[in-house]
Amino acid sequence: MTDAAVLPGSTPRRRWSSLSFPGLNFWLALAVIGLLLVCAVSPQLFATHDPLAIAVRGKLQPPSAGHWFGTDHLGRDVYSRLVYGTQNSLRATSIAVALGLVIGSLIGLVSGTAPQRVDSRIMRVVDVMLAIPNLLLSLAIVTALGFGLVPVAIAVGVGSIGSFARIMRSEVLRVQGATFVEATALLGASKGYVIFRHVLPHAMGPVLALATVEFGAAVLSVSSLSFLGFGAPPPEMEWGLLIAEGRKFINVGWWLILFPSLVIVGTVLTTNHLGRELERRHAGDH
Amino acid sequence: MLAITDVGRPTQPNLLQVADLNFWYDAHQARPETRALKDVGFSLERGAITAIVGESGSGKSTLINAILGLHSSRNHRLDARSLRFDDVDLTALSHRQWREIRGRRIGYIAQDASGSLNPLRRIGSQLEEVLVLHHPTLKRGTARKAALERLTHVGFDDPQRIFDSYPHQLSGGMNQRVAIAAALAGNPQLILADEPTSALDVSVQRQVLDHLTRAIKRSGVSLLLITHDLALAADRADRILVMKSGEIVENGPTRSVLSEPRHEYTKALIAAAPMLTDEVGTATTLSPAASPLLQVRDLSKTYGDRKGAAVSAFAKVSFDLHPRETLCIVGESGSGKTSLVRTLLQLTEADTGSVAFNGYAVGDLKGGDLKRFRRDAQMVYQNPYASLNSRHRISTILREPLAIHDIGTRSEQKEAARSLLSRVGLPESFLTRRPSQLSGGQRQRIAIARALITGPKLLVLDEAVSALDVSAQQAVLELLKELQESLGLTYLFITHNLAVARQFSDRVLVMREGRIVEHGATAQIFTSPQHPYTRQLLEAAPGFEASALVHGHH
Amino acid sequence: MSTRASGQAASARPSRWTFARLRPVLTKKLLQAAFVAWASFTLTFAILYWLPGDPVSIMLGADAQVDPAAFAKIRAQYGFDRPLIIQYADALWRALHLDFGTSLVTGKSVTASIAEAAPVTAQLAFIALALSVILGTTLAVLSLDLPGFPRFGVIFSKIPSIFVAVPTFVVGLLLLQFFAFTLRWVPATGSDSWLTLVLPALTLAIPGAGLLGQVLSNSLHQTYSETFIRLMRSRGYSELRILGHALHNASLPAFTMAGLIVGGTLASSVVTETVFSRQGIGRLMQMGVTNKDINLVCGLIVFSALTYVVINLLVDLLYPLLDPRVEYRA
Repeated sequence: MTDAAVLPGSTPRRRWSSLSFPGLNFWLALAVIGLLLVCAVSPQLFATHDPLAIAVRGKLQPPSAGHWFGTDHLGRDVYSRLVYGTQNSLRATSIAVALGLVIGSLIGLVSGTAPQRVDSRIMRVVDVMLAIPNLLLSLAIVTALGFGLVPVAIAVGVGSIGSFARIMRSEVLRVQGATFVEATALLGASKGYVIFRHVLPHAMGPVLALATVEFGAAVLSVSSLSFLGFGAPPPEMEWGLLIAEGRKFINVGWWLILFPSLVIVGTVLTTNHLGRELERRHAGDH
Repeated sequence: MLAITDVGRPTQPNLLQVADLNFWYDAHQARPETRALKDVGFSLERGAITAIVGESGSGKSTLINAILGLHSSRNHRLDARSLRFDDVDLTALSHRQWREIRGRRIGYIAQDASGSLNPLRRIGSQLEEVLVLHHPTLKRGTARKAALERLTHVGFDDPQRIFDSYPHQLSGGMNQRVAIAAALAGNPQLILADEPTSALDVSVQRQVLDHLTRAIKRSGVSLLLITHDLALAADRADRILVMKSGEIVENGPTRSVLSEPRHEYTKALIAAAPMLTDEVGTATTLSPAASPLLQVRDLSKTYGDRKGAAVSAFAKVSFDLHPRETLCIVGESGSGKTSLVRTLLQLTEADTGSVAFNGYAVGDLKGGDLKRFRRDAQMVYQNPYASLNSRHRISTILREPLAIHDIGTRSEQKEAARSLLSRVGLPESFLTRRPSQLSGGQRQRIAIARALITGPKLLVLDEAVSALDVSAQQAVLELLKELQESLGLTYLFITHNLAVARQFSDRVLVMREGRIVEHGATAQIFTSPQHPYTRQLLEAAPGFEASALVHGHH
Repeated sequence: MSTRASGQAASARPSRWTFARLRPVLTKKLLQAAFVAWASFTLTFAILYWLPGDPVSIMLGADAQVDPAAFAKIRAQYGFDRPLIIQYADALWRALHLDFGTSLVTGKSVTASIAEAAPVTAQLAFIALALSVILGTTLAVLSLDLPGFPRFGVIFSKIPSIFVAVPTFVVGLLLLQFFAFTLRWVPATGSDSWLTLVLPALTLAIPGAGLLGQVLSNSLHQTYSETFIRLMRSRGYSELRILGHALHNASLPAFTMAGLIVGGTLASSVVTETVFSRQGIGRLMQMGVTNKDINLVCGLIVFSALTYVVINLLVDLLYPLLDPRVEYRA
């Protein structure tokens, strides 16, 4: 909208305020994430049973008032195991995203602000990282580091460095080409001042939006690696691992797979929604 | 003028009849004050050229969309006592019926010439497609022949080459001529042209409009021309309608609208169209002894293009700029004027030649000296939407130059920002706003204030009013003049707009393909241009013909 | 990609696909492809053979109790006692001859193991990709809400985002549970009859369809906001004819993602083939990682990088045929 004739306070302000107050879905999504975080920090608040208590007599019970999500082959409460599993799942995911975000954006920032020769060399290496599918790169790292929650987290994080580097670089280049950046340089500002005061704040928005989307992708990768048996070993609890365990009883206990699946899908959908919302807000920002 | 109408159709006296047309973008918010079009009523004569003049946001495009049934929002609401095209009521048509109207009876030309055609298909195949659509009897070979013929009608001497080209291989003006041919393919009775030349260079603009009017006269089609440029409308139209905030405020034959405008807004528009007025910038009287503030000698710059070949941005540019003077550099896009100012301000380095500012060589400046130069020479950009950091508040934006140069304490900086804000005619309350809450004209005032806050001597204005509406343009130009007098500023003004140059500058420098072709006092350039290119530019400028109508020289 | 849009008001006729024109381009593209292949080998080698410090201890597993003499013997047998750079040069030299050593899991050479498993995955991936394209395109078109059609676009526009949010193993297991165990329409596992292909192909197609649906939906919406579509409407074109034009334009960004989508399909096959017990590349990878078979893992990752490189090479070479604005440029 380039409506130069409108008075201040009419259309532009409406657009601005609509950006400040996103819809109900946005707050709902934030609430879901908050709930998951509380689950991760203190699962005992939500769990109804001891997640490790074995009760062979009550094994493979379908969902009921006593066991909301049913019980597994050892009679353990699936709902409580899911609540406790949140901790491991979110911890691994957070480590992965933090690793990718920090290293990736640093690489992207250096690449975007460096002279063109340095830039093109860095980006060639990043291109190679992108040539290997994330999951396969993660598998290679897991092979090297060994199995477990932290190796899986590191593996997934390293796998996402390429995407972060690429988006940070392209954002830095885009913002550096903006007129207001040249205008600031023309005011006599140094390169460092321009980068940290103008370029980075503008470039950070889309990168953080990507981080939110990558959070969902990391939930998928972590649970996939756990499902394949490369994550934390039982009796540890993790969403993907719960499904892997339930898989052996797939023909008798549909609840063993359905409920953990819904939690994973719900989490990914929520973070993806948040990420897209953030992207939209930044798209209207330029 | 004799209008050729289709025989066999019941003919109404007017081709288009609009009465009490009201339009809302959002049907749920349909209140009288939210109307985008307010009781619009007019009629179009057959075979005539009618122009609707208005600024952006005046509702002229909304009106066109209503006539074409192509609305930009889904839950719009349209009420009209009459919206009638020939024998058809346009308020109650199905999708299928609309398709019978569009292209066959009403043609449409859009502003974005280069985006008007599918970039992936050859011109020929697109033209054939639309011809076969409207004339199903055409066979393969005949469609090709018809397409080539249509291309000659819009002035192509080598239709075969155009036929085989893709849109990106043609210039904007050529694409627009192809779009005109496509709009005429169904032999419509009316053409709606929405700012058809606003995105084109002045000389191309004239050429495209010539071809358009010629093609229209040939087939007896009526034309409804939408434009923001009153001068352009005055040159071409038989009748002018002026729109403002969704209302038609003036409606009459061109001559009477120009000579006896009734509405205040029309008067303001005429006053703001410098080609239509007699006003010519009067040269500041200079004492010949005054040493130049800026001295440019034999400045040249080449760029490497994608293939690695050297392309000259500008070559052998020399001129002097004296204190308190306004020098206008006039040129079309690609003439090298923007590269030139970027080099003058040391944003890029020149290959050869020298720039002296206040006597010292700008090219040798480093570190602190360069920073000092930045205090003295500032720039205002064309697009005020892009030149201000959207995240910062106005107070931060205005204080930033002082912070960079470490001038004054925090409270002194705030005071300076406040006083400069009122200096450019904006209230103090704007200090806490962000650029997105301001209009284009207001943003440009902020940009000017930011450029002036370090107290520079030279201000480079790079197309500084081109992105603004006519009324905002005038207000900003007046502000600049006033600031120049009171602060003793020197302006280097870059523009493609001859009208603005004529009104605003003391001296004019005409650039073409990186070279200065003419250089002289404004009055002299405009009354007796020496170089053929300058003459060509002047004749192509909208309002060149119409100025006679206003001053009654005929 | 070194191909760029050219904005020249060209006097030259549009480019033709002649060998003389193509040769310098082809040489450059092949060199670039070779670089990516080499670099991905180096990266994989670095991760698998350098990162852990001692590959032998990986292979034996952390808990293994081996006396130092036997340990040293294994190191010498695999050549891990040599300097790293020599190991790397040797591995690279052998990799150039498609020799990645012997696999612990299959007992055969890595190359032979991959060659044996590749057709199984190729068959699956091919059907899955075709399904992805059909499903993704349909969803993207239905999300458009074209004038004169029922307005269900909002619903269809949500489906691709759900597709990409569901982990592959969840899709596989839920399909398995419903169609194989509840309805008993298709067998649960195996690789013999074509019926066993249905569920894995569908599983593998879902993430691709989601990704493609999102990309295509975005670019279709963008295309529909362009002036030329509006002008086609103003010329009386039918919506179907306009869709034809728009799909061509909108498919370009999706086309450049072909390498990514095929790579993603290969990665998803690890999970899919594990769920459905099919003896393909993915299953090989899963077994390789489980058994710390670093030779096999290295070979498989280089194989997938090569696939990506070849597909991107094809896309690069075919792209100018789809988009006349892009020219071959060496």
